[in-house]
Amino acid sequence: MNEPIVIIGAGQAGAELALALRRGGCTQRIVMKGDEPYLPYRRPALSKGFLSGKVPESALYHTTAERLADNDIEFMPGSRIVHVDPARKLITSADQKVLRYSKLAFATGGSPRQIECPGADLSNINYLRTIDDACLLRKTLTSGTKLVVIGGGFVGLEIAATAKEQGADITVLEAGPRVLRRSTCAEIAAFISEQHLSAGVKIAVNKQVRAFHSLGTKAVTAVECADGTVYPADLVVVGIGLIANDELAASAGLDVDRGIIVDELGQTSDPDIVAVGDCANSMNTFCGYRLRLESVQGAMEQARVAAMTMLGKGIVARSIPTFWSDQYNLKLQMIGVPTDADQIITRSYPNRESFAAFYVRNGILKAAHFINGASDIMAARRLIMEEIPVSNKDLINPSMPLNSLLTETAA
Amino acid sequence: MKMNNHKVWQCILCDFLYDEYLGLPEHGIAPGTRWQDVPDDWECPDCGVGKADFEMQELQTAITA
Repeated sequence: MNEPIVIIGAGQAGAELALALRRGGCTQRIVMKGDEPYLPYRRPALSKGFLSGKVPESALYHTTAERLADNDIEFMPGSRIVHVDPARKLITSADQKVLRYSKLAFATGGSPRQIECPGADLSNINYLRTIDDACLLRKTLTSGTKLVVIGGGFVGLEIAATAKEQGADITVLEAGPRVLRRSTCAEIAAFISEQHLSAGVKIAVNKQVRAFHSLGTKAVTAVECADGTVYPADLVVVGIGLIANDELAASAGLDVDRGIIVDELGQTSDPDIVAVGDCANSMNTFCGYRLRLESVQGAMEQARVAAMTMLGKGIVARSIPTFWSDQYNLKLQMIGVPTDADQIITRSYPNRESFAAFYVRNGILKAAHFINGASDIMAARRLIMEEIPVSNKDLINPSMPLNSLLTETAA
Repeated sequence: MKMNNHKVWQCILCDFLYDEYLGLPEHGIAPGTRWQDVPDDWECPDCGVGKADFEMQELQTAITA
């Protein structure tokens, strides 16, 4: 009996899992099935450089066909799995082919949350998750396009910034009282909003979409909000969150709660099945609670840990969540978990181009968000991980490098 | 080109890998460029953190496999 290890999903997490299995000495067959037609690729640039055309498709790929072949990874693109039977260790693909596995990994990712209101099925209402989505959007985006972006989260704001460079006329509609409410503090959000406003992007908050309208054609022409305001549109992009692709796992009887539930080793409720990346709601050893991270670094880390778990050498990694975004010339870099803090200390720089926010609890740094080179991620990581006491006075001071806070306490 | 003990450096923020063997020709860094010879003002092409925010990877040689 030498059944293969099977990975469902060929995004970054799936591909890294496959490669990490080989690095870890796995000698079994490895089969990786992806539902998209592409080699494993990196999604972050889809809303930025790839959308603008600066980054070519070739630069998106996480790995090459040669490297997969060299590692004896049997990659099967365009193969959607429709059924998993953990009792008999079988998976069935859409073309009704059945494959037996020894161990199984879910790396099924997530899907954009769909907007539900009258007119949501009109054409020119788009989402952005895949290369195909981005190509479609790129074709539709031309100078003078009236673009309405729904959702003031990272994806929405990144698309707005990119589209502005293409000369589009853009309005961002945010349902809540401010943009980036789930990801960063009001001060950082205000800094970023200001960049959008000065670039000529309009941002409207407290705007819940009630309906999409068209003038007899199939294409959207206007967006109507609950307060009665109407925004003309040739093109709409919706970025209102990601839903874990956990239905397959749920129907296989695995424990699921807004993501496939896994422990700190990546193990699901079935001992022969792991789950990694956006589809997993995993125990985070840094936070001490479960969370579903939508982050590249988190997905990669989980893939490496789960590979070791599949090889029977469980290793727990204590990794801090990190995230980044860029819009216009702004680079935002984030480390740690802000919700663990109860105080926010901001740091302004004389150049007015850089900014930082520190999230503190009882004199301990829990998270740090940096704009434009204000960063010292390495020092911030040590301050957070090693729980080195920090004073608000030092955090506020722009001429106090974070590095020196490490040595100061060591002395 | 043969390179002994080439190392791989990893961005701690976004997981970008700099492989000394491969260099980064599209960013003007020739294959075989050692990490210490990468310019100090070089930034991670994906997330923009500085060179100081990279760590050496332990599984260096296997990564490039």
